[in-house]
Amino acid sequence: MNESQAKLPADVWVVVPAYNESARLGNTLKDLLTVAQTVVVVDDGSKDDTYDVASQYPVWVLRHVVNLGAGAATQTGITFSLKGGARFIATFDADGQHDPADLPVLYRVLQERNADVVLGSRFVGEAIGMPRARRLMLRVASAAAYFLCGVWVTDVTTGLRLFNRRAAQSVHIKMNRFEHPIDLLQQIARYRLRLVEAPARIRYSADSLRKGQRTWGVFRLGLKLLAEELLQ
Amino acid sequence: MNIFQLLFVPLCAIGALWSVLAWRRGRTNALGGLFWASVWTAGALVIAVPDITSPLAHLFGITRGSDVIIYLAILAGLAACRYFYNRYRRLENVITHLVRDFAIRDAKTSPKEFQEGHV
Repeated sequence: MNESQAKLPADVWVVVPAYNESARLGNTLKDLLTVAQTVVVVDDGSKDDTYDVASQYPVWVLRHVVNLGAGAATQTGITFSLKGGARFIATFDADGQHDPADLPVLYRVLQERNADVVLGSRFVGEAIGMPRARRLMLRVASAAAYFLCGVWVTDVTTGLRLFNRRAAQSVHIKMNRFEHPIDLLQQIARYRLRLVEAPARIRYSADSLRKGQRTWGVFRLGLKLLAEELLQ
Repeated sequence: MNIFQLLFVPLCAIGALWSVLAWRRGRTNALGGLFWASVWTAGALVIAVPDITSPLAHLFGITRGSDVIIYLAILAGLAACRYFYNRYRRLENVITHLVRDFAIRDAKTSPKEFQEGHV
Protein backbone atom coordinates (compact mmCIF):
# COMPACT_ATOMS: atom_id res chain seq x y z
CA MET A 1 0.00 0.00 0.00
CA ASN A 2 1.54 3.33 -0.98
CA GLU A 3 1.48 6.33 1.29
CA SER A 4 -1.41 7.95 -0.54
CA GLN A 5 -3.64 4.98 0.34
CA ALA A 6 -2.36 4.48 3.89
CA LYS A 7 -4.87 4.70 6.69
CA LEU A 8 -3.94 6.29 9.99
CA PRO A 9 -4.20 4.15 13.12
CA ALA A 10 -7.32 4.63 15.24
CA ASP A 11 -5.29 6.30 17.99
CA VAL A 12 -4.49 9.20 15.65
CA TRP A 13 -7.34 11.64 16.16
CA VAL A 14 -7.84 14.32 13.52
CA VAL A 15 -9.30 17.61 14.72
CA VAL A 16 -11.19 19.68 12.14
CA PRO A 17 -12.12 23.16 13.38
CA ALA A 18 -14.93 24.55 11.24
CA TYR A 19 -16.69 27.85 10.97
CA ASN A 20 -19.41 28.40 8.37
CA GLU A 21 -18.09 25.54 6.23
CA SER A 22 -21.35 23.77 5.39
CA ALA A 23 -20.65 24.08 1.66
CA ARG A 24 -17.27 22.38 1.78
CA LEU A 25 -17.19 20.31 4.95
CA GLY A 26 -19.00 17.33 3.48
CA ASN A 27 -16.42 16.80 0.75
CA THR A 28 -13.58 17.41 3.18
CA LEU A 29 -14.89 14.75 5.57
CA LYS A 30 -15.60 12.31 2.76
CA ASP A 31 -11.97 12.51 1.64
CA LEU A 32 -10.58 12.64 5.17
CA LEU A 33 -12.44 9.51 6.26
CA THR A 34 -10.63 7.50 3.59
CA VAL A 35 -7.46 8.12 5.61
CA ALA A 36 -8.46 8.87 9.20
CA GLN A 37 -10.44 6.58 11.48
CA THR A 38 -11.12 9.02 14.31
CA VAL A 39 -12.19 12.51 13.35
CA VAL A 40 -13.35 15.33 15.64
CA VAL A 41 -15.20 18.24 14.03
CA VAL A 42 -15.47 21.35 16.19
CA ASP A 43 -18.18 23.69 14.96
CA ASP A 44 -17.04 27.09 16.14
CA GLY A 45 -20.44 28.69 16.53
CA SER A 46 -21.28 28.61 12.84
CA LYS A 47 -24.24 30.56 11.53
CA ASP A 48 -24.93 27.99 8.79
CA ASP A 49 -25.60 24.26 9.13
CA THR A 50 -22.00 23.17 9.53
CA TYR A 51 -23.00 21.14 12.61
CA ASP A 52 -25.75 19.30 10.73
CA VAL A 53 -23.44 18.52 7.82
CA ALA A 54 -20.80 17.11 10.17
CA SER A 55 -23.45 15.06 12.00
CA GLN A 56 -24.12 13.10 8.82
CA TYR A 57 -20.67 11.53 8.98
CA PRO A 58 -19.18 8.98 11.38
CA VAL A 59 -17.21 11.60 13.26
CA TRP A 60 -17.31 13.21 16.66
CA VAL A 61 -19.06 16.58 16.49
CA LEU A 62 -18.65 19.31 19.08
CA ARG A 63 -20.21 22.74 18.95
CA HIS A 64 -19.20 26.05 20.50
CA VAL A 65 -22.32 27.99 21.44
CA VAL A 66 -20.59 31.19 20.35
CA ASN A 67 -17.82 31.82 17.87
CA LEU A 68 -14.50 31.91 19.70
CA GLY A 69 -11.96 31.56 16.90
CA ALA A 70 -9.87 28.95 15.13
CA GLY A 71 -7.38 28.71 17.99
CA ALA A 72 -10.07 28.05 20.56
CA ALA A 73 -11.79 25.48 18.32
CA THR A 74 -8.48 23.71 17.74
CA GLN A 75 -7.78 23.55 21.47
CA THR A 76 -11.29 22.25 22.17
CA GLY A 77 -10.65 19.44 19.70
CA ILE A 78 -7.25 18.71 21.23
CA THR A 79 -8.67 18.67 24.77
CA PHE A 80 -11.47 16.34 23.70
CA SER A 81 -9.04 14.05 21.87
CA LEU A 82 -6.77 13.81 24.91
CA LYS A 83 -9.77 12.90 27.08
CA GLY A 84 -10.66 10.25 24.51
CA GLY A 85 -7.24 8.64 24.79
CA ALA A 86 -5.64 9.82 21.57
CA ARG A 87 -1.94 9.03 21.27
CA PHE A 88 -1.48 11.39 18.36
CA ILE A 89 -3.54 14.43 17.42
CA ALA A 90 -3.61 16.04 14.00
CA THR A 91 -5.28 19.27 12.93
CA PHE A 92 -6.80 19.59 9.48
CA ASP A 93 -8.59 22.47 7.77
CA ALA A 94 -12.29 22.13 7.00
CA ASP A 95 -12.23 24.05 3.73
CA GLY A 96 -10.69 21.38 1.53
CA GLN A 97 -7.32 23.11 1.13
CA HIS A 98 -5.45 20.18 2.63
CA ASP A 99 -4.88 16.79 1.09
CA PRO A 100 -5.71 13.92 3.47
CA ALA A 101 -2.93 11.87 1.85
CA ASP A 102 -0.45 14.18 3.61
CA LEU A 103 -1.53 12.96 7.05
CA PRO A 104 0.17 9.55 6.77
CA VAL A 105 3.28 11.41 5.59
CA LEU A 106 3.23 13.57 8.72
CA TYR A 107 2.72 10.45 10.83
CA ARG A 108 5.66 8.70 9.20
CA VAL A 109 7.90 11.76 9.60
CA LEU A 110 6.95 12.05 13.29
CA GLN A 111 7.88 8.43 13.89
CA GLU A 112 11.07 8.38 11.81
CA ARG A 113 12.47 11.63 13.15
CA ASN A 114 11.29 11.03 16.70
CA ALA A 115 9.57 14.39 16.68
CA ASP A 116 6.94 15.79 19.03
CA VAL A 117 5.31 18.08 16.47
CA VAL A 118 5.22 17.95 12.69
CA LEU A 119 3.97 20.91 10.68
CA GLY A 120 2.84 20.43 7.10
CA SER A 121 4.50 23.11 5.02
CA ARG A 122 3.36 24.21 1.59
CA PHE A 123 6.90 25.45 0.96
CA VAL A 124 8.39 22.01 1.60
CA GLY A 125 5.52 20.48 -0.40
CA GLU A 126 3.38 22.20 -2.97
CA ALA A 127 1.07 25.21 -3.09
CA ILE A 128 -1.24 24.97 -6.06
CA GLY A 129 -2.67 28.28 -7.22
CA MET A 130 -1.01 30.40 -4.55
CA PRO A 131 -0.70 34.03 -5.63
CA ARG A 132 2.77 35.53 -5.58
CA ALA A 133 1.71 38.20 -3.09
CA ARG A 134 0.52 35.54 -0.67
CA ARG A 135 3.80 33.67 -1.07
CA LEU A 136 5.75 36.80 -0.22
CA MET A 137 3.48 37.56 2.71
CA LEU A 138 4.07 34.10 4.15
CA ARG A 139 7.83 34.49 3.81
CA VAL A 140 7.65 37.74 5.74
CA ALA A 141 5.42 36.05 8.29
CA SER A 142 8.08 33.37 8.81
CA ALA A 143 10.65 36.06 9.54
CA ALA A 144 8.27 37.80 11.93
CA ALA A 145 7.53 34.50 13.67
CA TYR A 146 11.24 33.85 14.09
CA PHE A 147 11.66 37.28 15.63
CA LEU A 148 8.76 36.69 18.02
CA CYS A 149 9.33 33.03 18.88
CA GLY A 150 12.89 32.14 17.99
CA VAL A 151 11.59 29.24 15.90
CA TRP A 152 12.07 29.12 12.15
CA VAL A 153 9.26 27.52 10.17
CA THR A 154 8.64 27.96 6.49
CA ASP A 155 4.85 27.91 6.81
CA VAL A 156 3.66 29.78 9.90
CA THR A 157 -0.06 29.69 9.20
CA THR A 158 -0.38 26.02 8.29
CA GLY A 159 -3.43 24.31 9.72
CA LEU A 160 -1.95 20.87 9.01
CA ARG A 161 -0.16 19.66 12.13
CA LEU A 162 0.49 16.48 14.03
CA PHE A 163 1.30 16.25 17.75
CA ASN A 164 2.24 13.28 19.84
CA ARG A 165 0.36 13.00 23.11
CA ARG A 166 3.16 14.52 25.15
CA ALA A 167 3.25 17.61 22.97
CA ALA A 168 -0.54 17.93 22.92
CA GLN A 169 -0.58 17.77 26.72
CA SER A 170 2.23 20.32 27.02
CA VAL A 171 0.81 23.06 24.84
CA HIS A 172 -2.43 24.87 25.55
CA ILE A 173 -3.57 27.37 22.95
CA LYS A 174 -4.46 30.59 24.77
CA MET A 175 -4.92 32.82 21.74
CA ASN A 176 -8.39 32.16 20.39
CA ARG A 177 -8.25 33.56 16.90
CA PHE A 178 -5.75 33.54 14.07
CA GLU A 179 -2.96 34.52 16.45
CA HIS A 180 -2.83 30.94 17.63
CA PRO A 181 -0.09 29.71 15.24
CA ILE A 182 2.37 32.07 16.91
CA ASP A 183 1.06 31.08 20.34
CA LEU A 184 1.75 27.45 19.42
CA LEU A 185 5.24 28.20 18.15
CA GLN A 186 6.06 30.11 21.32
CA GLN A 187 4.95 27.17 23.46
CA ILE A 188 6.81 24.68 21.27
CA ALA A 189 9.95 26.73 21.90
CA ARG A 190 9.20 27.18 25.61
CA TYR A 191 8.64 23.47 26.26
CA ARG A 192 11.53 22.49 23.95
CA LEU A 193 9.37 20.20 21.85
CA ARG A 194 11.04 18.58 18.85
CA LEU A 195 9.57 20.28 15.80
CA VAL A 196 10.03 19.23 12.18
CA GLU A 197 8.33 20.18 8.94
CA ALA A 198 6.96 17.81 6.33
CA PRO A 199 5.68 18.42 2.81
CA ALA A 200 2.06 19.42 2.44
CA ARG A 201 -0.02 20.00 -0.65
CA ILE A 202 -2.24 23.06 -0.37
CA ARG A 203 -4.82 23.69 -3.05
CA TYR A 204 -6.10 27.24 -3.32
CA SER A 205 -9.59 27.94 -4.56
CA ALA A 206 -11.45 31.21 -5.05
CA ASP A 207 -13.13 30.65 -1.67
CA SER A 208 -9.90 29.95 0.16
CA LEU A 209 -8.18 32.95 -1.36
CA ARG A 210 -10.97 35.11 0.04
CA LYS A 211 -9.84 33.95 3.47
CA GLY A 212 -6.92 36.32 3.20
CA GLN A 213 -7.42 37.38 6.74
CA ARG A 214 -5.40 34.42 7.90
CA THR A 215 -2.26 35.89 6.31
CA TRP A 216 -2.99 39.43 7.47
CA GLY A 217 -3.92 37.95 10.81
CA VAL A 218 -0.30 36.98 11.32
CA PHE A 219 0.58 40.65 11.44
CA ARG A 220 -2.42 41.58 13.54
CA LEU A 221 -1.34 38.92 15.95
CA GLY A 222 2.02 40.61 16.27
CA LEU A 223 0.22 43.48 17.93
CA LYS A 224 -1.79 41.16 20.12
CA LEU A 225 1.34 39.25 21.08
CA LEU A 226 3.08 42.46 22.01
CA ALA A 227 0.10 43.30 24.17
CA GLU A 228 0.31 39.84 25.78
CA GLU A 229 4.01 40.25 26.49
CA LEU A 230 3.92 43.84 27.68
CA LEU A 231 0.57 44.23 29.39
CA GLN A 232 0.16 40.93 31.25
CA MET B 1 -7.75 84.18 27.51
CA ASN B 2 -6.85 82.31 24.33
CA ILE B 3 -9.23 80.37 22.04
CA PHE B 4 -8.41 77.02 23.67
CA GLN B 5 -9.28 78.42 27.10
CA LEU B 6 -12.44 80.08 25.76
CA LEU B 7 -13.60 76.76 24.31
CA PHE B 8 -12.56 74.22 26.90
CA VAL B 9 -13.08 76.01 30.22
CA PRO B 10 -16.85 76.22 29.57
CA LEU B 11 -16.86 72.63 28.29
CA CYS B 12 -15.17 71.42 31.48
CA ALA B 13 -17.61 73.48 33.54
CA ILE B 14 -20.50 71.80 31.69
CA GLY B 15 -18.88 68.44 32.37
CA ALA B 16 -18.69 69.21 36.09
CA LEU B 17 -22.32 70.34 36.14
CA TRP B 18 -23.38 67.22 34.23
CA SER B 19 -21.67 65.01 36.81
CA VAL B 20 -23.45 66.76 39.68
CA LEU B 21 -26.81 66.49 37.88
CA ALA B 22 -26.20 62.80 37.19
CA TRP B 23 -25.61 62.26 40.89
CA ARG B 24 -28.69 64.28 41.88
CA ARG B 25 -30.85 62.28 39.43
CA GLY B 26 -29.56 58.99 40.78
CA ARG B 27 -27.76 57.96 37.59
CA THR B 28 -24.52 57.68 39.54
CA ASN B 29 -23.63 57.42 43.23
CA ALA B 30 -22.24 60.26 45.34
CA LEU B 31 -18.63 59.10 45.07
CA GLY B 32 -18.81 58.83 41.27
CA GLY B 33 -20.54 62.18 40.92
CA LEU B 34 -18.08 63.91 43.22
CA PHE B 35 -15.06 62.30 41.57
CA TRP B 36 -15.99 63.29 38.03
CA ALA B 37 -17.14 66.74 39.07
CA SER B 38 -13.70 67.20 40.69
CA VAL B 39 -11.91 65.97 37.56
CA TRP B 40 -13.82 68.36 35.28
CA THR B 41 -13.35 71.25 37.74
CA ALA B 42 -9.63 70.56 38.02
CA GLY B 43 -9.45 70.45 34.21
CA ALA B 44 -11.21 73.81 33.94
CA LEU B 45 -8.88 75.35 36.56
CA VAL B 46 -5.69 74.03 34.95
CA ILE B 47 -6.79 75.31 31.54
CA ALA B 48 -7.94 78.69 32.87
CA VAL B 49 -4.89 79.25 35.12
CA PRO B 50 -2.01 77.15 33.68
CA ASP B 51 0.48 78.50 36.23
CA ILE B 52 -1.49 76.83 39.00
CA THR B 53 0.44 73.61 38.34
CA SER B 54 3.87 75.26 38.47
CA PRO B 55 4.44 74.80 42.20
CA LEU B 56 3.73 71.07 41.76
CA ALA B 57 6.10 70.90 38.80
CA HIS B 58 8.89 72.68 40.68
CA LEU B 59 8.49 70.18 43.49
CA PHE B 60 9.59 67.45 41.05
CA GLY B 61 12.28 69.55 39.39
CA ILE B 62 10.21 70.00 36.22
CA THR B 63 9.98 73.46 34.67
CA ARG B 64 6.45 73.45 33.26
CA GLY B 65 3.29 72.43 35.04
CA SER B 66 1.75 71.13 31.80
CA ASP B 67 4.64 68.67 31.45
CA VAL B 68 3.81 67.18 34.86
CA ILE B 69 0.17 66.80 33.82
CA ILE B 70 1.21 65.06 30.58
CA TYR B 71 3.65 62.71 32.32
CA LEU B 72 1.09 61.76 34.95
CA ALA B 73 -1.60 61.32 32.32
CA ILE B 74 0.61 59.01 30.24
CA LEU B 75 1.53 56.90 33.27
CA ALA B 76 -2.08 56.73 34.40
CA GLY B 77 -3.15 55.82 30.86
CA LEU B 78 -0.59 53.00 30.62
CA ALA B 79 -1.57 51.64 34.01
CA ALA B 80 -5.24 51.76 33.02
CA CYS B 81 -4.44 50.00 29.68
CA ARG B 82 -2.67 47.21 31.53
CA TYR B 83 -5.41 46.83 34.10
CA PHE B 84 -8.24 46.68 31.60
CA TYR B 85 -6.35 44.44 29.16
CA ASN B 86 -5.79 41.91 31.93
CA ARG B 87 -9.44 42.08 32.94
CA TYR B 88 -10.48 41.54 29.32
CA ARG B 89 -8.15 38.53 28.95
CA ARG B 90 -9.40 36.98 32.17
CA LEU B 91 -12.98 37.40 31.02
CA GLU B 92 -12.12 35.96 27.60
CA ASN B 93 -10.51 32.94 29.28
CA VAL B 94 -13.55 32.34 31.47
CA ILE B 95 -15.88 32.49 28.46
CA THR B 96 -13.59 30.20 26.46
CA HIS B 97 -13.46 27.59 29.22
CA LEU B 98 -17.22 27.66 29.68
CA VAL B 99 -17.93 27.31 25.96
CA ARG B 100 -15.33 24.54 25.68
CA ASP B 101 -16.73 22.60 28.63
CA PHE B 102 -20.24 22.76 27.19
CA ALA B 103 -18.97 21.64 23.77
CA ILE B 104 -17.10 18.66 25.22
CA ARG B 105 -19.98 17.73 27.53
CA ASP B 106 -22.42 17.70 24.59
CA ALA B 107 -20.12 15.98 22.07
CA LYS B 108 -21.97 13.65 19.73
CA THR B 109 -21.07 10.97 17.29
CA SER B 110 -23.29 9.33 14.71
CA PRO B 111 -24.94 6.01 15.61
CA LYS B 112 -22.95 2.89 14.78
CA GLU B 113 -25.56 1.60 12.31
CA PHE B 114 -25.36 4.89 10.43
CA GLN B 115 -21.58 4.74 10.37
CA GLU B 116 -21.61 1.43 8.53
CA GLY B 117 -23.30 3.07 5.56
CA HIS B 118 -20.41 5.48 5.09
CA VAL B 119 -16.84 5.16 3.74
